[in-house]
Amino acid sequence: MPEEKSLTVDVEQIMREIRADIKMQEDLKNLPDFESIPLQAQDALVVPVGYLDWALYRQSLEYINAHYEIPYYWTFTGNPVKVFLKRLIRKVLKCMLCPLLNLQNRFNAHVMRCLGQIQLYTEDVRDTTERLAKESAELRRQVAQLEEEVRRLSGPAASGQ
Amino acid sequence: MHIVQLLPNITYGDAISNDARAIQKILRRWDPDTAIYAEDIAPLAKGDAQKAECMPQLAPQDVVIYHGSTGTPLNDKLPQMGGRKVMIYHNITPPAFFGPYSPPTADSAQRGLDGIKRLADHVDYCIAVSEFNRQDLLRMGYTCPIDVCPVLIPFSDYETPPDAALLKQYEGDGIKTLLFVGRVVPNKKQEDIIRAFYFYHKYYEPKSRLILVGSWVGMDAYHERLCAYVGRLGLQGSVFLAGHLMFDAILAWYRLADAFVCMSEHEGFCVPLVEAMYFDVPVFAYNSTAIPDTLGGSGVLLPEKDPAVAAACIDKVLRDPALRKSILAGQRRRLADFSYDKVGARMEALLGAFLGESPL
Repeated sequence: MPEEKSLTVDVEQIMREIRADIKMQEDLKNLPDFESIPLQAQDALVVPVGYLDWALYRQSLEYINAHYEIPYYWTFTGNPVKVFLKRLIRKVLKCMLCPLLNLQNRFNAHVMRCLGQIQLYTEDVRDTTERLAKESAELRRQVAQLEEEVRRLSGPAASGQ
Repeated sequence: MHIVQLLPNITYGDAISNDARAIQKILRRWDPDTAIYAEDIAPLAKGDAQKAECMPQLAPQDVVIYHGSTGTPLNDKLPQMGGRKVMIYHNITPPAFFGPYSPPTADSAQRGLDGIKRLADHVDYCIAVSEFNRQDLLRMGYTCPIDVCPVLIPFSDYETPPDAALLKQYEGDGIKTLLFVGRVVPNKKQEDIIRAFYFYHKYYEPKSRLILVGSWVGMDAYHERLCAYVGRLGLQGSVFLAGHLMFDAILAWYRLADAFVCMSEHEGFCVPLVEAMYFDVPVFAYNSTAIPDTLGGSGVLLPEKDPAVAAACIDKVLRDPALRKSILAGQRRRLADFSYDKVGARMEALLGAFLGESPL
């Protein structure tokens, strides 16, 4: 069976065609830049890859502790007619939304309590691990010293044979 | 002789963790009790590894195989460990990509790069997963022997049944599907894929969609910016940032995809390119870092970041059955170079040669 001819995409040719296409070039020129999209304030919990950042951990816990309770009431501002309508809708929906919000807030409180306990535990484990690592390093140093001492003491005996 | 593997974190579904598991099977030839140790162990990977602090002290004839891939205290602890040291280098994303979105991640990446540089005089042998990575190590001052061996990809996993409901919903609906699989992180430049899709959707195939599969955990700011960009380009309803999907759903999207588009500006290997080849999806990728190494002349390599050119190339291939067939044939030939048996044999030969030099 004759070998099939390998076909490829002539990217250079396509590039020439695209550059000659005025409408497309105009569109390309006017296409909004990605960088023109403003970056939102970084509110989200950022998880560093492969490395626990204790400062970030504590900072996020503080935020959660301060904000775990979500209020049903907050001040509306702006157009008085719109503010009135928003207040009216809020009042009408209160009987449905408030119980849900209370359940959510109770859940959030328990999660916060859990996270607090986990924080205490992990910091305790971290401190213990650091202490043990130091002790282990000291023991290894002492072993190395003793091994060196043994070698030094064995040396003259071996050469004297 | 005891051989262990050490990595910063082990989980399920990521290339490095899969690589470590596959290498463990090879290592059992020399050490039936070989183990994997990791700093962080994801719940799903609990049975596969032990915590790094549980790693026993190694004797001079033992070997630790370290997977260098991120900023971690392990980069500084490795020189203090006993035994001979092998590093499998997966590459670390330059911190500049993360700066605007996540200073802690940028710091971590910088720490990672600095840590890998400091290891140059403490590692006895390196295996780089791509020629690009090998060159990276040479630039960082590594003088030990460095060989190239691709990532071990468990292709048998891809025979898992795909998500039937997803297939049923989208298969044969007449809409061309462009796909990218990879974490939503700034170096992968999902915004450039969206730009290419904009031109494809507007000028070539209005009945099309773009699916971006990948987690954006830790990159919320970048993800929000991408979503806003989709809105600014008027592509809501055509571009979907699917997030982290279950494995069977990812398999379904590979089977539904008409084209795989990659505009990444930094990759150490890019396993999804090989996955696309496996599922016979034509690959269109920007020529950067390790991407040409992985493609090896197959697929369509885009020399410039021109979204209109990318769109035109995609349309050309999808409209020309003979051209598409030829592209796929080239991809299948390249795919054979990554077969589990072939790469496994190479890894076994490389490690065997290194271990053979060890005084027992």
